[in-house]
Amino acid sequence: MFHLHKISLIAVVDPEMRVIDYEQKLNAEGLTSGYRPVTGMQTPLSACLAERTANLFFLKYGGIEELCVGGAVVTPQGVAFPIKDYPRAATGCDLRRVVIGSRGLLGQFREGSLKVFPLPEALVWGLALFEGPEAALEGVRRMVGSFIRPLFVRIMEEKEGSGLLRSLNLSEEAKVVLAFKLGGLKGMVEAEREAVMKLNEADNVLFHWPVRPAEVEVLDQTLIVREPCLDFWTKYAPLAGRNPASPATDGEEALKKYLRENPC
Amino acid sequence: MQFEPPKLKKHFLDHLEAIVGPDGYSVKNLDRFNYSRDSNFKSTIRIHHSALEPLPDVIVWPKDTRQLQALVRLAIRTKMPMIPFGGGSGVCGGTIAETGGMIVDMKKMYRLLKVDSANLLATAEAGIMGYTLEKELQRKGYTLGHFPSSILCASLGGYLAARSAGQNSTRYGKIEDMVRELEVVTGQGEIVQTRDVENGDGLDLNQIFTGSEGTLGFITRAVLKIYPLAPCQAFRGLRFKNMKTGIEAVRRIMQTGLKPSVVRLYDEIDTLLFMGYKKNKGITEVVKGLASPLKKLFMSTSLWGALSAPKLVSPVLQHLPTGCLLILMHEGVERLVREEQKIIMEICRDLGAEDLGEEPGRVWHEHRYSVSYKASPLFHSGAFIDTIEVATTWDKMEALYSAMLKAMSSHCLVMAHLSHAYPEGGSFYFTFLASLGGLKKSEALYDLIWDKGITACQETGGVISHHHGVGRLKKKYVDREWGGGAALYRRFKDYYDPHGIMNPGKLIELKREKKEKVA
Amino acid sequence: MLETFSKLMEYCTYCPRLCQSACPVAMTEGNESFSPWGLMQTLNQLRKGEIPLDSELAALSYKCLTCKACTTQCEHGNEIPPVLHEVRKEAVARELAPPEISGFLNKFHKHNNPFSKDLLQKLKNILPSKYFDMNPQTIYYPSCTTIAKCPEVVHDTFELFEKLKIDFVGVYPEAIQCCGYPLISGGMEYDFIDLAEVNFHALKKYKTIVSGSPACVYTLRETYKKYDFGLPGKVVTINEFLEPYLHNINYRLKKSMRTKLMYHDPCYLSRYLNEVSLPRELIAHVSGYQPMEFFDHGECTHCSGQGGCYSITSKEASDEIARRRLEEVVEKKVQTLVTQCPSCVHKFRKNSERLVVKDLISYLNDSIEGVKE
Ligand SMILES: Cc1cc2nc3c(=O)[nH]c(=O)nc-3n(C[C@H](O)[C@H](O)[C@H](O)COP(=O)(O)OP(=O)(O)OC[C@H]3O[C@@H](n4cnc5c(N)ncnc54)[C@H](O)[C@@H]3O)c2cc1C
Ligand code: SF4
Ligand code: SF4
Repeated sequence: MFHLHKISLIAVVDPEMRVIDYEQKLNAEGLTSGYRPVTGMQTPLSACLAERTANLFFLKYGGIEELCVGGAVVTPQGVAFPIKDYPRAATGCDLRRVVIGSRGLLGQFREGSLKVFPLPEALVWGLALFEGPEAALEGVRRMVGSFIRPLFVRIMEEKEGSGLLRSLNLSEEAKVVLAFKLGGLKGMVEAEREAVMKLNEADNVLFHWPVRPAEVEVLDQTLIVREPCLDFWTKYAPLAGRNPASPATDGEEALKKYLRENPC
Repeated sequence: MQFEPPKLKKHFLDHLEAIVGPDGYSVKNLDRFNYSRDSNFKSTIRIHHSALEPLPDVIVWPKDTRQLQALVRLAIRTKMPMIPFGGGSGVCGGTIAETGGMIVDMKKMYRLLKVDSANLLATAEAGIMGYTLEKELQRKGYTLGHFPSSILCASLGGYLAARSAGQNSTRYGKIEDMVRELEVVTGQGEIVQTRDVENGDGLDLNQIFTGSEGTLGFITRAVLKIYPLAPCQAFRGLRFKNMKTGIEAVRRIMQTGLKPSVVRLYDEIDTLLFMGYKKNKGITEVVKGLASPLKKLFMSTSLWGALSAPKLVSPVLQHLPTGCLLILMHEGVERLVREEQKIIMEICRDLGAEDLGEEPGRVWHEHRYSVSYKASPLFHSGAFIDTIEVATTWDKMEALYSAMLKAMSSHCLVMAHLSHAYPEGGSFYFTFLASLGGLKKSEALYDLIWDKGITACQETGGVISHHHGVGRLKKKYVDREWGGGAALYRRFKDYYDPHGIMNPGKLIELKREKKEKVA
Repeated sequence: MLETFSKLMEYCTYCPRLCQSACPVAMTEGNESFSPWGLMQTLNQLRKGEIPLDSELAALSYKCLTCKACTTQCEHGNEIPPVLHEVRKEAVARELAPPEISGFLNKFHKHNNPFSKDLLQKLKNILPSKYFDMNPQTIYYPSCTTIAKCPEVVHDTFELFEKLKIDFVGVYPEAIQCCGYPLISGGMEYDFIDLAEVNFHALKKYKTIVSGSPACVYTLRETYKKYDFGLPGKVVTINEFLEPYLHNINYRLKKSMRTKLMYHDPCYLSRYLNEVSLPRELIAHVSGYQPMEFFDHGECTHCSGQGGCYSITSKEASDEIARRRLEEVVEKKVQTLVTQCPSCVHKFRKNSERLVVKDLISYLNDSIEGVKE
């Protein structure tokens, strides 16, 4: 099952589909899922929905709970019900977001309606060289605080950073390298590029904008494709205005226990 | 007006006083009267006729989470219904003590506790008023970005409990997008902390309590996403030939991935009213000669003509050649704002829009809370008014708009605007006006209009509320709304409110209640 | 009694409480009944004859500072205090007012002021006798609260006059040193009329009456008129009076006065007398820079908690209002708060230990060293 609502930009899919296949189907239509699960593109969507698998491209497109706008759910007891597609509602709890991440405890998606996006018209890698990790964090904070939403950001310290610079044949030395990838409409990406530099102007931050296909290839491969980045949140939480990944609260454990012990 | 005395036992009051002190509660009739309604216009119709809503037995003002927990435990022991009360700006009767009981006013828990500038997070107690919260954040250089029309009269707890949306939601999201963590005192008498699981592993308790309208517990504290104040703002007004092209433009704008902070598209009548009541020259010139007849109609005796024969007048009004007004507001770094404006203008021009310059946007912004003041003069002159806000995906937007308009407009005057937009859809905000008759007649007409509107909405596949919540007003439609999903909510209800004391009679008809009725 | 207010009261009854978060009483006590909406929709039922005027309702009518923050917020411009005054008057007449109010009245009658003290005697200890014996055309009217609670302002006013070579102003030399504002705002209309009549005869001979208390200026200028005691002379605020002198005279400034300060607009000055920019101009004039502002300032100011007899009937909450107002001063790390109302000065001093709270006149006086010859 794969159905595309081109007006609303929603795809209705069988969750058993792997993310990679889903993405390819969309790419053929000039669209993208906006989803790069940290567990890799081979993961089936059902697992992503059940476990709320983090999205590497979260800053731009949101997590899987933001992407899912409806679908059909079946409870562990086998009761099936549809959730209609809608952007936002104020009708009690958000059933979509409650089922997602419940690891099947509350239900599983038999059908998922997911937001899709036009493939970005332009994609630009940026490297910013900072004095230290704090300065780099501040750089990201400025970006996020100004609603500049890169697809992806990554802070690389010491060896990792200089390694990357070397692999791009750049001669600069930097304590910390902030790598980020902007994407979207051409005009917007260009504006964001200028805005990012302006935001960091006062601190004399050095920027590189690798554009040669070989450079882009290196960056895509090393930062996005090759390294799934499972510890995504422990490292990047503050960048997106979250508390650093916290363990489940007592309240959450208690509810899970109740739900397990009292199947409806 | 007769106030039934409260049904309370002496020893209950002794316990209560031990928890909150002598000034922490009231059983005075005047207080009970003032807590007998929120801002549901059905209650306003009733008070117009000096008819009361059910009175709570007692009002309590806890000062902290511990006191509140003790209150819940007392209520469990005494089977006392508890109704959370924030600002009372809710428009769905969510705070009405249907079966008496204890109204718990949260306003003494009013502190902004922490602003974490490293992670861009703010922690506040739930009783803080929206306006106070925003002002205190702005004092420190930040904004929550949440500007509902009720910012002057709603609390943070109420925002969360009813899933509120601000006018700048396109950029900042709704309140459920801002919430990161909650502290809740549940109907079990337990204190539950939630955590942020967005884009990460875990069961999302935030999304269980947000929107629960006090039926699972009291929200006492929240951690929210904040932003540095934007350095630059820009405004724009555009006119489209009709709703169809206007809707199309908004869809395209949203699907490019842009984030203007305000996108509002007014239909013909709403546009006229918008332009009519502004003294502003720039705008009135654009609609010269058009604004005045309608303005006159609304402001003079012919209003009564229109209201008594909506069947005849509505179609005429809906086809006025005013066009539909699109209001845009942009915020952020100047370079981005300019680019965003440029792209949006291109989209709109392609669809034949006429650029009205920045004036309409600016005027809208200056008067963005003004419309709420219109209710008083209308009621005073013998009309009633209410609003219905629904949402759906883009493919159904136009159908939803037409269906609801058609269903309602033979009973009242209706106008609408597309109030909040997303890449996948948006929400419509209908305003209806009808004339006040006797109490019974007005109430019946009120119910009828709502029923027509909501039924048309559900038949078209829309959701019946985008940001006002359900309360008492729409609960009978919720089972259909959720389909089998209602069972999920009922499990949360069974767990968090095993004694059935939390805001009974709201959000959904519980099986318990249904059974009782049958019996 | 309330029919003249029927439209206003109906508007509030149907209003979704849009001025609620502007009202300091509602926000501090947290009770909907005390919000402008609650007050008006309740009294509207009294007007319609649905509920009686009893002591519970009478007490409710005292839950207001008469600060008019609601009026500024309300797009209908609804004024709540006059409605409450009507009810308070009736409550006092029918002996339904809260006990604190009759207690207050007893205290007042001892020396015709709220402080039960001989304020003229106190005034004589502050100022040299020459100011009492001048038989002037222009008089400085100190206000009871200034003499009782911040007497240095009287002293500083005359010292400033000397520095600016203003030598024609005397001090109001009568035994009664209260304009009656507390009486009328508490609903004690008959007592107010008696007092106003005596004051009227003593005040009518002056061409100009200058006062540093905005509530006194408002009462003497406006309220007296309503009771047919309109004064023939001009009643002006101290700022209006001083402005030309401060601009035209060449004086020396103390450099040391360039401390960070905030200015608090008293409700009566900013909302009743519309004096918002003048105090700021005067501060800028002597210090060379604008004072720091509260987020809520100018006509959107926030009451100190002392107004409208509220501090008599609701002591604790009224102090709480002051403390909440002061939070922003602490937050901004400012040590000096300047305002211009004896009630505000008193209230803020009472509710903060470390802050320097000054009347604007004291600040001006401190800043000016003397006229350049
Ligand atoms: C003029 C006007 C304009 C409005 N405009 C908007 C708008 O633009 N956007 C929008 O979203 N809404 C709007 N509303 C609706 C209303 O303001 C919102 O629903 C708001 O979120 C309610 O907040 P409140 O504090 O007034 O809640 P209340 O009315 O006090 O309560 C609403 C519900 O929440 C529950 N509740 C309150 N506090 C808590 C708590 N701490 N814990 C648990 N439950 C609680 C109550 O029991 C009740 O069920 C408007 C209303 C009015 C009157
Ligand atoms: S004073 Fe104005 S804003 Fe306040 S309740 Fe009355 S009508 Fe509403
Ligand atoms: S005058 Fe001040 S205290 Fe009185 S109701 Fe209005 S805002 Fe509240």
